[in-house]
Amino acid sequence: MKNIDDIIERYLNDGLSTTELTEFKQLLETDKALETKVKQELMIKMALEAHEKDAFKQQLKGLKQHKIIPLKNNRKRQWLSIAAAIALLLIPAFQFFQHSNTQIASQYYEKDESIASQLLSPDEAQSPYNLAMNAYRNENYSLASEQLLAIKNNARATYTLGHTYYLSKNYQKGIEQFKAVIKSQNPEYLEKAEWYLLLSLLKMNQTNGEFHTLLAGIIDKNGVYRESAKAIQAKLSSNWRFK
Amino acid sequence: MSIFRKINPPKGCDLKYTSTQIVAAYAHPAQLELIANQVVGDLFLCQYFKNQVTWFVKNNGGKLEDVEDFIQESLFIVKKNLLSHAFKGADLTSYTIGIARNSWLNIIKKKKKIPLVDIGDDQKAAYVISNIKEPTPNQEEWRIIQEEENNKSKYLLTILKDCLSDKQIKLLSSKYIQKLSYVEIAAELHYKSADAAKNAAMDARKKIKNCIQQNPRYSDLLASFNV
Repeated sequence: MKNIDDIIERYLNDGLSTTELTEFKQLLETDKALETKVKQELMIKMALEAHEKDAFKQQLKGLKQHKIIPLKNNRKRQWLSIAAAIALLLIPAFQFFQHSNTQIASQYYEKDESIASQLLSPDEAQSPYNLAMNAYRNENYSLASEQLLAIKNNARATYTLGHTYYLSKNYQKGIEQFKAVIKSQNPEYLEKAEWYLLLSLLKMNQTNGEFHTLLAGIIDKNGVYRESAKAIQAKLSSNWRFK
Repeated sequence: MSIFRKINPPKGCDLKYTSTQIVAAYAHPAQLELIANQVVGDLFLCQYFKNQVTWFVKNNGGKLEDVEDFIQESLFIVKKNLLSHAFKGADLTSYTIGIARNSWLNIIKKKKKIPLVDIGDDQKAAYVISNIKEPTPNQEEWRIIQEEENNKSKYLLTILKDCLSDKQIKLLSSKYIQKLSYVEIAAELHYKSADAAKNAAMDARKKIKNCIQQNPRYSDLLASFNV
């Protein structure tokens, strides 16, 4: 068998031919290491499916069941009901097209997990940086901010501080931190800081000249965030939205 | 005569997309997920679908409390089938009811070895259901099956969260469950390139495998899998 990983994947997705299946099952009976490997793959597959299913169920729970309210045979009430029904029908239509600035920002903001995994060596476990990163990972943003403020002249700390402020809804302070990172011109965090500054400005409804210059700059740069920035630009220019 | 005088229970579901429109959307992957979400949302709110499934489950060994969860399970399969283009354009309500019936038969089969029917074959499923000769699980047996399934799901979720970051879970889900290409994943999850996304996915797989191997708590669960 040529590529065992491919065969295992097809086996778990019922994609093997009858001959391949017989051959593979025989191999499974004799090769314990292979059996363990297949079990691991199956476990990962089922875990991912359980995760998808869980997310799907949460999504469905968000939908409210319509209630049927009996109406009296009253002409005035009937017209009111028709008007209400039309309004109810229009609400989802408007919601579908509506993208407020703050909603767009939330849609594109994603917590940067990569910074939290960059811990210092174990003998520096109690350093403000490590304490801050652990707090950030555990979503204790006030503690994370406190520790990060103690670190001076460090682009990574300033960048993380921008996120902790954003995540604790202190967007204006977040904007200041992301701007400071951009000013430092640290190549490792520059692109990210620009992107998150854009989202923070959007969150604060500060879609002035500075915002549009930044947006155009991200699109022109052709970097990681180009497509997302273009999508935001398209949404902002849509007529079907509330500011 | 007033239009409000008599309200008959609806016979079908109020769906915003027809089967033809859904199949046509297969050519537009960017819109498909949005449409699939709308379809399952409409079906979830459809009283006719709920009544059919409730009647069926209650008459085949289930309890009323099981129905809500079971409906969600069935709709999850429907969404997966829409995203993987497995739905070929039959009447969507009947198709979904067929999926629910087959899923229920699968559950019963696990316990009682009832012959399986193909998923989506509504008429065949209905025939088998009406001709079930073997007893369905009793209430206690059903409770145990459900509890085992729920515990297993919860445990599997714990493993994922223990071993991987949120972004890594999203990455593997996008690749192996939603079957997105690395190009699509890179755009969605902000990786610099498709190769970067592929490397990250390989790292995440290695990480979870090591995590399973190194954690004795997971060995019992691993041993319980039949392959």
